[in-house]
Amino acid sequence: MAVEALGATVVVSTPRRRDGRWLWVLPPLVLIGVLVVYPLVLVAIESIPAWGDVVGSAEFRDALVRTVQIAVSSTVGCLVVGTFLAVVISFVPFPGARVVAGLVDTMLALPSFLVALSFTFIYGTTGILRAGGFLTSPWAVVLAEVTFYTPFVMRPLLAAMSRLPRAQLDVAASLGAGPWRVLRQVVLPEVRPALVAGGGLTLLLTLNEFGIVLFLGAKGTTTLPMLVHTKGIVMFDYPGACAIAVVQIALSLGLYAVLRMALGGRRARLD
Amino acid sequence: MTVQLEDVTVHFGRTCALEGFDLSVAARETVALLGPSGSGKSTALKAVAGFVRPTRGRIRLGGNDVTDLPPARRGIGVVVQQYALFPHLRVADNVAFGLRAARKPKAEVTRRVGEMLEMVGMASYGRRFPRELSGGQQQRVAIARALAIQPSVLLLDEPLAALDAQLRADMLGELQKLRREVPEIAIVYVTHDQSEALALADRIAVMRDARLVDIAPAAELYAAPPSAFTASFLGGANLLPVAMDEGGVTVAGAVIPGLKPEEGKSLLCIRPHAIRLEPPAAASAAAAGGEGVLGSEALGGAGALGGAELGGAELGSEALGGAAMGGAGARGAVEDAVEDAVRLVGRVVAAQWRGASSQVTCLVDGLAEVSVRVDVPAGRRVPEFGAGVVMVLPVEACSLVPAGVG
Repeated sequence: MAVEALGATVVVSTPRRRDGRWLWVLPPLVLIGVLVVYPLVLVAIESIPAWGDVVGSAEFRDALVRTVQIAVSSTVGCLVVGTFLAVVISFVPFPGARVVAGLVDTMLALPSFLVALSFTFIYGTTGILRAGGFLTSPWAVVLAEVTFYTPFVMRPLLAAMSRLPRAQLDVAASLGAGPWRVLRQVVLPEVRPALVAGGGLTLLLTLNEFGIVLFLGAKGTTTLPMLVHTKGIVMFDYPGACAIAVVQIALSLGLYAVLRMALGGRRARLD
Repeated sequence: MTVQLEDVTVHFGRTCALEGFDLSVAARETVALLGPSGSGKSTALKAVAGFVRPTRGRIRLGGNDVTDLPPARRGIGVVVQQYALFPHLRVADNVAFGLRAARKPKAEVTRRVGEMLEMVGMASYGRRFPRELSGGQQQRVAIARALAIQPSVLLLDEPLAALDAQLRADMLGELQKLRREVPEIAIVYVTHDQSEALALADRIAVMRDARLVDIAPAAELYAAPPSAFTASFLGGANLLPVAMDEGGVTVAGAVIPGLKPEEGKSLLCIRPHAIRLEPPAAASAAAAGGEGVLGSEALGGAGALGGAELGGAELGSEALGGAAMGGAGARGAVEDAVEDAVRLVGRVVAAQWRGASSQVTCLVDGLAEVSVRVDVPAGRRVPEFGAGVVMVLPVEACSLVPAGVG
């Protein structure tokens, strides 16, 4: 009896309480709808007449391939450099490790084009190194993106590594595993979620990177965002720009979906 | 000697975690490092394993200096409190970790892993992940993993501290069994729990404030503690201040028959379970010529007396004063010639029921600042709070220890 009575009160009280709360979902939905979804739908509609031309063009296909190439190379570079630096900062006791970690955090606050700008001072035609055509090659873009996005890999890695129990590393060492084996068989498998999160985010961001590519102004390096910019703003081919933008959006959302699945349905946690 | 530490000192920044530590452990021997937290016992173990580098001193394994060797090249088995199993590896792969690091052939790895899991009774759990095991099972796997590499030294750092009481008792039995199965290994066992140390160790090293206080065979250390700290930490002994003169040793004015005064030893050490409680009336009867044994039996029947109002104690001690000779009685104590025991009069200030026994805390008349803990076995009547009692201290359970630190 008592249980039934309890159940009844729950049934009675829940909808009333839910009514009020349910309304709170509206403001964000309206905001997102008006500010994000509606413009995207406009872009998609606008792109319809241009689809055939754009998708068939060599220009588009080259840009797509180049975009993926640069994004994947940059992400791999970030993962390698970021893992190395995170391991050194976490496990090699050197004075000032905290300072370095702090600097890495500060890097996250800087705008990406700043890296590109600084590159022109080092590698540009009048720069310190005068490295000829390097700046106009895709490798300059990759190097700049690795420089800028490595902290995005390091941050989650540093957090994950600081949570690794010290005893586990000690015991692994006592069982006869050298530092390399401990890193490969204990540390890396256990920070894999952080690697996936950091790498996934970097891939997403490098796919859409615009500032660095624009600032380096590499002629032979046309990526999808550059193409959208050129077509839409420079050549006034608005439908063409929209078509490419739709591809870009599909690429990003697809990658994001894969990333979420890889992280077991949880949100990609950065820290 | 399998393990030898000479003057090992470890500093972490400005804190000194271990100071001038000497220890040697022979093959087939188990030494327990016993001490409160922060006493440096874990640091000593970590120094042996190679996890911390000593600031000073040498560490030898089987005669070879390993002080500058990394842990991977020491070949020591280590088991820690939180098990530290590798969460992404299955149980069998955890146990195989050390064998694979040593690049043993596949067939040998499989065979050895099987043997080890069999030994700790986890043979059917090889395919599980550590998170699917209970704490006790995880600790068994950790032990199997440590022993798989056939170390000559096994270091156990509080291996049972994370388990609940029942499991801890079971695992203690398992460890004793293990001890018999791998008899040739030298074991260093770090714990803050004296019962684990007494159950497992051949010798116990008592530590305090980063230093070794005492080291001796377990039974010896328990029976005749060389220091006040060891006496109270190992077995929670009572320490009573004594006075010494030509006549012998006196506590609270009562002479302890047969105990010789020793230079520098000014505390009487007696275990709580060695003391017997009697109601004041029975004591006076015993002092008047009755047998001690009779007196203790009378305790049960004289419960009403034990529970009498506060005045009972004074009444009892007055009666004693009359019965015993002069001054001693006035100080609230009597000596018993019949059974070689000292009788101290006091009152109960606290009682804790512990199931199989009760621990009663008493104040002794004439010893204002010392309380005496007495274990009363279940079945005996526990005197009520505030009741006057007579504590019977058999002389064979009494020993003298030096006062102060160390």
